[in-house]
Amino acid sequence: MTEASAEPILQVRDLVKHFPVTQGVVFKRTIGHVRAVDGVSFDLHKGETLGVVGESGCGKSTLAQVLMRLEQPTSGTALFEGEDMFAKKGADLRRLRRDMQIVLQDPYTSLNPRKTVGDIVGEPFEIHPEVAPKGERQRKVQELLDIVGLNPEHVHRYPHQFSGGQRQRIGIARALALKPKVIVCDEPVSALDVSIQAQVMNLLGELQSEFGLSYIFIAHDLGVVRHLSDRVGVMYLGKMVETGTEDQIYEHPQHPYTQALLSSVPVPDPTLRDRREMIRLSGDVPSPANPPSGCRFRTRCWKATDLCAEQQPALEIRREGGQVVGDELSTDGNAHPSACHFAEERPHVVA
Amino acid sequence: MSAVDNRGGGSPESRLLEVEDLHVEFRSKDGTANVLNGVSYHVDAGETLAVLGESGSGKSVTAQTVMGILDTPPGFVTGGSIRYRGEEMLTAGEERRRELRGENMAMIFQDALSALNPVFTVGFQIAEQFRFRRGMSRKDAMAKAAEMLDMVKIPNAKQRVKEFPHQFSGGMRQRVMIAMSLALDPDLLIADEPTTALDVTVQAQIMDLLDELRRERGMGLILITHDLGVVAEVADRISVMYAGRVVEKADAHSLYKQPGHPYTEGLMESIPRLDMKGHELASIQGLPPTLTNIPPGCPFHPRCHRAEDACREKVPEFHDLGLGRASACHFAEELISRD
Ligand SMILES: Nc1ncnc2c1ncn2[C@@H]1O[C@H](COP(=O)(O)OP(=O)(O)OP(=O)(O)O)[C@@H](O)[C@H]1O
Ligand SMILES: Nc1ncnc2c1ncn2[C@@H]1O[C@H](COP(=O)(O)OP(=O)(O)OP(=O)(O)O)[C@@H](O)[C@H]1O
Ligand code: SF4
Ligand SMILES: [Mg+2]
Ligand SMILES: [Mg+2]
Repeated sequence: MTEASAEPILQVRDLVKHFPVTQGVVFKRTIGHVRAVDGVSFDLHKGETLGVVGESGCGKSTLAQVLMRLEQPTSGTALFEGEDMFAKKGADLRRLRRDMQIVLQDPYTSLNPRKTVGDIVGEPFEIHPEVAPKGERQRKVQELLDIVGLNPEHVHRYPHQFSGGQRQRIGIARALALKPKVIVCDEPVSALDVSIQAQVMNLLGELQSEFGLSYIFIAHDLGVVRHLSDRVGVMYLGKMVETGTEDQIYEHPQHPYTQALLSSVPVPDPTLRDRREMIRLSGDVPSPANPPSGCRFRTRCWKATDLCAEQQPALEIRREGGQVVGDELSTDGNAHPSACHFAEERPHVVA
Repeated sequence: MSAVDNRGGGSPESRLLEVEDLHVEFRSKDGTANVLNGVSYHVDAGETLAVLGESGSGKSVTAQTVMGILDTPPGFVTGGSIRYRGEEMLTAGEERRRELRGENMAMIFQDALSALNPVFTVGFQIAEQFRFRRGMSRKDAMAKAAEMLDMVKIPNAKQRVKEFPHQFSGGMRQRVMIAMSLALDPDLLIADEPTTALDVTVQAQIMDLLDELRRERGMGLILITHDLGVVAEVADRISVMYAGRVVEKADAHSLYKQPGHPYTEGLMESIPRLDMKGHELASIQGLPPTLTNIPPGCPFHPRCHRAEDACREKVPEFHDLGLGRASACHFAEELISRD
């Protein structure tokens, strides 16, 4: 992956998306809010991959939808190349829509079954004819199919004539059509078998180096995210609880939730059986309509005290007894932001 | 409930289930799909056999055939044998099969929500079995149901028996399914992707629970999964399936140390591991075959990086490699003796 440049391509600050919970049929009353994304901040640099991990319902897809402007944010800001994304209208918005693309999880439902592959991949050209004039479209589409490793002669086939992995490649070809700068990948390989998943992941990696793409890569599989990401954000109940480089998160996790998550992932090596540290969380994730006070993780956290119920821990580089957490023993600086009052480094949870 | 620590030893008394050369096809207008083309595996009391394979390889169809719940038509068993404690299942009458289901062998499914009836309480659904199979009174059956929920570590079981499935989280519903399948104390449990739909932290809880129950009850457990991580953590032995065949079997340690089939090897190199920052993942090229048109010779040969002429012509036999290992690759001996 390429060297990160100075100005982030995307700067997200305090992003919030609440969905109203309504009651009643005729007169709908709002009785509460699902706090799907509740104050998320991060930077994305050119050519890098930011992985976003977290369990089901923590707000990953909502974050993607808001960034793609498919959902209106409740509050917060996002700058794309220094300009306010959410204020863009008209031609500016169209331009933004070229620069940011999305690849979705489900290769079985995200493609229109009645359209040919040529139509699907060429669809963005209908909206942005400036990218490919009519006479050139067929050739462009075939080029795209070739780039993602599909047979260019198959332009007239329908989605059902392709396998899951091939359909995911079609989705990627479509996302590439307008030469975007950022691609948001929402679980792009989760529905695929491992052998096929590896093919698609390798493809995403190749395309990134070839076209200098930046990815926001959303997944619940921590192995997949580690493999592709330069930096990683861990989400819990609508908030980022820890962010850092891939190495900081996987080798030097500080937040209890990150530690528990990493320790729960089975590692394909029977010799590690009973030799890995086990952190088992009890209970389930609380409802995002009614998150716990203070630290949202406290109901499942083994470190929780009264302080955790009272005060929300900020996502920042933590200090412990005047010392920066994660910095004391390392020369390369493992300090990174985590949102826990009692953040402490715990190496070796992975293996 | 004896042979708790019999790990694949295979004395006649501990051999719970033996599937041998099982053939199943699905017939439709479009032709015949050869879904199982000679599946063999066995499981002993107290041990965990993992059945590993990608989507469509026939893991669930094998399990359904073992349980006697295969959709017929379109599915037909065209050959082979399934013996439960030595008794042939394929020729047993439907009544006998029904008797064994629940009492002796039970199965849990991937999708716990759709397997539960939304309009009845969880307690009622578990209690049903005690009432109809054990002739218990409504009250006793309900008390027993609460006991079962307690066994699968659902807090507050006495209250929660009165709740409906939608009031339980995904992980809790899977616990309910486990409770339900174990109600009649079977000695063989088939768990078909029991944690695929769950988050990792919950998956870890459920796997711990299944493992604990297996140990306590000396049950034989067949764990169906495509997750090589889960397999590495709990399996005693592993059978790898590809295109309706078992292509390799081995104990867990040997298999991960030195796979004896190129397909297994390819799978292992395809996983992005949590404990390693890798570079290029070695993927297996191409796709699994269509089951209406399985390639001649070794069914894996079009995707295999080692394939030679022999592979295109001759079906490799599933042959013994000693120490409980077997593989269906012409070059298996070579593969396992590499260092
Ligand atoms: N349109 C909507 N209206 C109301 N609630 C919603 C809507 N979209 C999402 N939610 C809720 O917001 C929360 C976050 O959902 P989201 O889909 O972002 O989670 P996720 O992290 O992508 O989960 P998964 O891993 O299951 O895809 C959930 O509780 C979800 O039910
Ligand atoms: N009722 C059915 N009718 C027709 N074909 C079927 C039926 N059930 C299964 N099949 C076919 O049998 C093959 C094997 O299916 P099976 O469900 O056993 O796969 P699996 O290994 O369990 O896969 P997965 O990991 O996706 O669950 C598939 O090609 C499937 O399409
Ligand atoms: S028999 Fe040949 S084609 Fe089949 S797995 Fe072995 S080497 Fe590959
Ligand atoms: Mg999602
Ligand atoms: Mg299945």
